Amino acid sequence: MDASTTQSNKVHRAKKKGRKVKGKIEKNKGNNPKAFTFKSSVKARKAIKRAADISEKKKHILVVDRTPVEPPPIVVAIAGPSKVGKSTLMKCIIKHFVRQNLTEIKGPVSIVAGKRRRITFIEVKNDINCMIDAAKVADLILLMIDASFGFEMETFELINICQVHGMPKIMGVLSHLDLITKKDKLKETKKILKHRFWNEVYKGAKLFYLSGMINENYLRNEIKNLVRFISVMKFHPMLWRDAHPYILCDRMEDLTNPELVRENPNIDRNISLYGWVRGSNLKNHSAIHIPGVGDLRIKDVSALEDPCPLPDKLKAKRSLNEKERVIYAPFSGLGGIVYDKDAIYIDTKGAQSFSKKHKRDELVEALENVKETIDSKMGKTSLQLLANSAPVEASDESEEEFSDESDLEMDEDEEESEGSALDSELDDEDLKDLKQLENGPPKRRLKSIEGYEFVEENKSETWFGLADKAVDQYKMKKQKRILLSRLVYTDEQDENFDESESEGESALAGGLFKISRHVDEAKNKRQLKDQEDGFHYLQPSTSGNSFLDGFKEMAWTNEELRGSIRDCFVTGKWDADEDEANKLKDELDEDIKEEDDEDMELDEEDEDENDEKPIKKVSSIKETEEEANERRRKKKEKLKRMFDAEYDETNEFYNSLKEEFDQQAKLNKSVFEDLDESVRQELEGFRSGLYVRIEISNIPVEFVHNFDPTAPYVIGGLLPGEQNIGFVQTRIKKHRWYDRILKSHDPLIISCGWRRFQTVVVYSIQDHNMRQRFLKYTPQNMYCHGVFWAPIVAQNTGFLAVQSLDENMKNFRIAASGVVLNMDKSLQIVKKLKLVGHPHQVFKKTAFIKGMFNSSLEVARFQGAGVRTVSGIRGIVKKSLRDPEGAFRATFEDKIKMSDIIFLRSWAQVPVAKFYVPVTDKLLLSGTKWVGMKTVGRLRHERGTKAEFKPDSLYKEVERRPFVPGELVIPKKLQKELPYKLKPKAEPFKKDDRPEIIRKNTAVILEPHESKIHNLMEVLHTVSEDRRKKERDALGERQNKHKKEVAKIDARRMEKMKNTKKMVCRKLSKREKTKLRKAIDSLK
Amino acid sequence: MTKKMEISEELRFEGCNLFRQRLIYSLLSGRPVTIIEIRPLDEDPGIKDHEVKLLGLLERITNGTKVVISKTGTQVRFEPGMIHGGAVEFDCGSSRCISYYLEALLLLAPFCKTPLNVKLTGVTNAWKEISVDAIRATWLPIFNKFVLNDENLSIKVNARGFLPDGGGSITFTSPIVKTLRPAQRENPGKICKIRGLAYVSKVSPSIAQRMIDATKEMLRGYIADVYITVDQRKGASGGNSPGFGIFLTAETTEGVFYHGEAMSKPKYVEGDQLIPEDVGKNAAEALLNEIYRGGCLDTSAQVLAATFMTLTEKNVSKFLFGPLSLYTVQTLRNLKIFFEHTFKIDEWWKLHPETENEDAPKIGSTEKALLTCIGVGYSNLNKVLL
Repeated sequence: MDASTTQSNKVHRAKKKGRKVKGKIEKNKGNNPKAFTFKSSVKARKAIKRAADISEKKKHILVVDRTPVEPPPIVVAIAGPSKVGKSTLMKCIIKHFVRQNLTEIKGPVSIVAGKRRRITFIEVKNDINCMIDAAKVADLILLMIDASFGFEMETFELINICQVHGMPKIMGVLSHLDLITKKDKLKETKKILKHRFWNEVYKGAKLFYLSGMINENYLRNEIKNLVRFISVMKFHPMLWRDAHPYILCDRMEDLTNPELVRENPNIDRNISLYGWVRGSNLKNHSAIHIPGVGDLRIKDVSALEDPCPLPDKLKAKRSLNEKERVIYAPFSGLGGIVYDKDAIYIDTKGAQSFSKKHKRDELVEALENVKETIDSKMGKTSLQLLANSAPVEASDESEEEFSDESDLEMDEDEEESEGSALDSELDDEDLKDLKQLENGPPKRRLKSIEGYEFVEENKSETWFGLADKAVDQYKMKKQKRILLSRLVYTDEQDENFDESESEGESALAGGLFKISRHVDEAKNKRQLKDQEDGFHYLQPSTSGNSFLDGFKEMAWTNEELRGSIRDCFVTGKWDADEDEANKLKDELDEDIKEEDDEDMELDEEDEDENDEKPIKKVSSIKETEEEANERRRKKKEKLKRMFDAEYDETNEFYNSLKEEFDQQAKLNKSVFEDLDESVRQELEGFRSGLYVRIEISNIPVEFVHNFDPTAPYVIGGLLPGEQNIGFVQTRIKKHRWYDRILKSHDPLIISCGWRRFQTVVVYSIQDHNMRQRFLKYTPQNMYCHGVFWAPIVAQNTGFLAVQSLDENMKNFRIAASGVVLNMDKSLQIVKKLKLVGHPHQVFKKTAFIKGMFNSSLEVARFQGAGVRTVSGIRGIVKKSLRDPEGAFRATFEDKIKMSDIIFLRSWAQVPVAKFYVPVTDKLLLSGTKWVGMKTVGRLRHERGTKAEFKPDSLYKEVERRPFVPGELVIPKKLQKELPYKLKPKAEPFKKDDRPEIIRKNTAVILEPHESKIHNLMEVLHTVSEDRRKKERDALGERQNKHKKEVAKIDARRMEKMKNTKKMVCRKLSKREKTKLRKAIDSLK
Repeated sequence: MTKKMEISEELRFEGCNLFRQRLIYSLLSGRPVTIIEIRPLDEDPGIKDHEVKLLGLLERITNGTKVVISKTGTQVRFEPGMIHGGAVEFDCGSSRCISYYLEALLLLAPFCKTPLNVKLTGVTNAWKEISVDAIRATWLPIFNKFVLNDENLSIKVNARGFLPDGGGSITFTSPIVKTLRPAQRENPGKICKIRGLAYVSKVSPSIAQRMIDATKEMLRGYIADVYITVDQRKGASGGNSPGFGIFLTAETTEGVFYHGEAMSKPKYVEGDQLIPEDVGKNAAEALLNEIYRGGCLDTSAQVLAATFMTLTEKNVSKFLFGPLSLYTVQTLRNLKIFFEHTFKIDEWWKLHPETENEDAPKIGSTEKALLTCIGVGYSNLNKVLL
């Protein structure tokens, strides 16, 4: 080995060429500082913006980290349509872990996968209920896709379900790739499927390829890769699961007394379910929901030993040995021995029928839990003399508590030692005595108890030394101490839990003896129970024997007493670490120190500069190297500090919040760490990661009869308030792929929170004034509001809706999805209501309206409501009239016409049915489908009936009278101004349409003036009539004369005409004759 | 096919005590309660005026609450609805101090649908009862520890009212939250100032000075920063009955408030009227008692802190309480019944064994209790998401 020390190694030769060297040279090249300074403000702005964007993008909404210290196994669900190879994959994965073939796998299988990871695998049946339940609990879903077939509806449905319920991780697995023989086709298919998958999940989602099968198994290498992926996967926290505890059951036992079952086979059963607690902490006796069964309350929870424990962390080696590769799957009959409260189960591969169900003897159980010998126990036994007092322990005899030197304490010491002597020879009689002692009346008891007795006597004997007495009283705290948690939670609780607590009351003390708890004087309690509320602020929490100081009368004039709170004030003594003066001093010191440091640094820097010069101080090489290292380190630290300061300044709020949340998370994990496990469970519930057994009583017998281990059984914990029921208002959207539209008042099956239930949804849309207007159908491709009666869940919880579970649908089954907005006990959804009436009497601005209401009661409901006529005259409803029934008086802003129609526009509330039925598919025989309420449309379709015929609802032909325009009346004033052309020329004749007889016989008596006018008119009329008559006669004569003349002329003319005609005719006939003669002549 | 499964969420109680708490926890947890045997042997059996008023007030600020009072009045069934809140005006009558109602409202206030804005009329300061001033001085700081948003959080005394005729009025407004934040308070700090308010109405104003003098006399020797102001009320703002009293608070460096108060006897109480000096002395003694008890809160506000610690998300809260009062113990038990929630209660003297030493700092009672718990994961289910 000597040779090695002297061996001279080849000196490293630095590179002189290449990219890296070039880069270095370039970096160092710049010598001109101005060349790289700020040039463009736009560029700088962009750069700053980009940097800020990146830093903002990194931030997430902060949540308190709730991952448990020892997390439960992660749940991996293998899902997909039927015949894609789910079972084969499950088998292959399990075989990969346990190295043996399993024949039948039912239900969840838990496996230790590595040093820090356990996995529960479940196979999800191709059933929508199972898919929903699995999506609610799975951390990772292996979505199997038949590559030779492509995507099926179930695939998309499952992805949708996952999105709604918090989006667990989804990993696609392509199977049946060997059925595609052509290479190009295979490549193409893979690409298409991958991109479609990315579209649905997210860009870059992992898709696995199972290329083929050998001996009915997938290739080992591929499975190995898949498992590797699973075992390193990280998970995001999910809001719902972080807030709620849940359990995926992997074992179920029926605890019902067999005798009772024999008597009545259909009796409600008591069962126990097993599983790891996941999510948040599970409280004992809390409300739970089992999807497919209903709401229940836990009877009891107990933590069991982990059946599938992680290997010890001590070992440094990386792989698991055979012993640590534990598999636990009770439904499949796998897993070793399981200890339990009721029985010990030894796995005998399916033959688990001999389990012992009855309760074992308490003593035997006690013996089983013994951890120490009885002698050591006796040494540690404590005697509790009083219910509220701290137990006196035999070993640490009263020195701690009673160390004062005064006589009083001395006396006490004696008493105390007596007490401990008593305790060492503890037997039943003594206990009985003690009990009697405690049950005695308060006064006597006060006397007989050590310490108090002395004080009492003192009081009665002496009147001097009042100040001393006050001091004594103040010092009373030195006596019995009160165990507060016992005082609060165990002592008087039986007051409230009379029946329920009576069983748990008989605790086993020391492992063997039973102490039955005494009940405090009932009288005292009754008093407390009946006292007035709100006066107990300043009353001590314990009554009678011992009490807390601070609640008694204190004489504050006493100097010593006054001194006892001296240090509560700023003027008092401070603790060393919180003394302001010290702090100030420290700070000053630090400042000075820092300044020194900086000075030093500056000096050093100067030195550094100096160092570069060849004049180096002569010192050993080693020292300078160390110095240089130190210098570099300091420089780095300074840089880091500067960066931190800058970063902190820009992200101050975010950082402080993050810090706060981190601290809270740390506190949450550490605060109960050092406590006893049972106390811890009492305080914080059953932590996530514990394997627990949950007892539930009175579960329907069908649950046990139809138990199907292949379906996921989930126990979902409910937070306070979530077991309540109310109207849930949601934002809902019909799914684009769902081919029907949804109708208000139709039943829907909704999966929200843990629950699956059927309810009746009413859709509405919000107006600008926040009014919820009823919608008959869901709008297309738009969100609307939906209200249904259902259990309350936290706001922002997602939900999905399915129309039916039993129909055989080929299409996409998820009808709608949405989010919860608001819960209340009553909600207003309204639709428009228009009431129509007619005036039956019109006064000036008042009118009586009829036909709008049917009774005066209805009118009373609408008093003060606004009404309107068609023409827009507004009015209000005043008061109902006696007759006709339902008529009312209304006033308007103007006079209305008899022919007007009066409208009352109002909003009528749409009732939402209080219908809620949990889907109870877990109570049905496996394979049968849950049939809920059917929609009216479906019922009609099934029965072949048509919609009910209501003649009133039919549209009728609208009858319209022909329009008769009114006559045009032009006011006189206007008439005057009109040009003559447009003036009305003649008054239309106004016909007197009175009957003839009336017209004739109506006497007209005129006023004198009128009669004068009338007379004059008559005279004038007579005159004119006379003149007209004369004129007419003259005209007649003239006419007659004229007629005669005309007749004469006519006669003459007629004569003349006659003659002329005669002549003409003669001539004509002559001409004829000559012609004829000539013709004859010619013929001749 | 299957029987309908029902889980009994209902709780049954006996007696008239803790009536408020039962109703409020019922509203918060959503579990119906039945209270039987309310003063069955009393001369005037059944629920009293103030309890009816309280039921009325709760009905006003909630939606869907059902109350059934039996014919004799000795039995009440309360089915809680959703807490609505909003603006309410309510006459509390003069049988109990307004603080009786205010306490109930404070516990519900963060969990309303719309922020509470309540105007209560009645008695603001009652003999032997905690006053509205005390609620304002000691409860609101604790409220603020759990509700960060202190916008609109106020209790304003518009008019003082004393027994027997009342006539006082207050306005209480409060913000709402989605979840309460956990609080860790273990260090009470040191008292740095003492403030006070001597109120007189319809009596001679010189009484105030006499009370202040007596108080200062009693508080002498601790710190110099003691200021007591006079609140003299006339006319309507002074209520309908005469009375006087003094109210003191001590504030620590950590923002913890203790209070002490005393006031004159109302007319109908037998015995001689207290002289102002005695009132001042009593108040100072009450304050010193409170300081002696110590802790990170006033004894009266223990209920609020315990309740809010329970109603946080599943996070750890720690609070140093003074010696637990009877009322607090009952509260803790009620929280156990309604929410299945248990506190870890550490005794101060166990955590700090050095306090037994002679030279230990003299900070009053060693019976303080450190309460630690993980919240039940409660969130405001009433709040509306838009």
